[in-house]
Amino acid sequence: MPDLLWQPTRNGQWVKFKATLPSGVANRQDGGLPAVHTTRDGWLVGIFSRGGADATGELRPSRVHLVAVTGENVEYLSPAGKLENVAFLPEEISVWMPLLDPADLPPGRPLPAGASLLP
Amino acid sequence: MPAVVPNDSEPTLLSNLLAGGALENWTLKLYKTNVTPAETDTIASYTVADFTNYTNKTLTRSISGSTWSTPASGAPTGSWSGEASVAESTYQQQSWTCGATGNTIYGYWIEGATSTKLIMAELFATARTLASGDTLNLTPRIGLA
Repeated sequence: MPDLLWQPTRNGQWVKFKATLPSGVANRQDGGLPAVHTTRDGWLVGIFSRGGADATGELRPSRVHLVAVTGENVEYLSPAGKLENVAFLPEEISVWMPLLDPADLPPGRPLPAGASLLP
Repeated sequence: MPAVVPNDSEPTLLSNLLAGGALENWTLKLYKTNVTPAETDTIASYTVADFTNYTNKTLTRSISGSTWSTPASGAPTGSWSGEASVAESTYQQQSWTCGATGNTIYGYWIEGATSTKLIMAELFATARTLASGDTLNLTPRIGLA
């Protein structure tokens, strides 16, 4: 049962979540785009990035980047005609939980030997 | 957004803080795969850039006018922390100028120059598509809150 009050606190934390995908993103591998990765029970998988300025000085808010089966970010063609990463602001996510089972990681980005997902 | 310090490097960094000693230099690398850094990552999670004229950069573990700046207290740059006062240091700006063949650069990582252990990694807010003549400037910054 998900804790509706839970929010990620760790930069780079793996999370599983429920959200509405932007139009144009589908679980597909045609056109060279990698498929969206989901857990065995159907949750989307992403990585939480804490907001702030990057090393080039550009600012971004905190968000969760949707991850593909390859382990890379999922891209889509935005309404503005730009190729962008599918990323969700916290308020766009209906429910989220920490991803704790290595079997739910995308196959292209397995857990390194000796590593753990546990807090 | 703040760089991710992976779980694997945390003991090393803490040892550096507590015991000091001989500190290995770090290597700064740009990556060309669209990857958001995760706390479980290693250097194998990223693919290094290979545009014409690309080179890795050495970040010397020292404090001087040409390496890391003297740490100073102040408000966090770019809102990376909710604390009102943090300590920060920046490394001299690093630059790359692309030659004939370009890359799309998504971020950078820093690894131990000798150990090759991943120290930290960051996805740029906006990917940089480098073509001939384009320059990418990057200022590494480390803070303690």
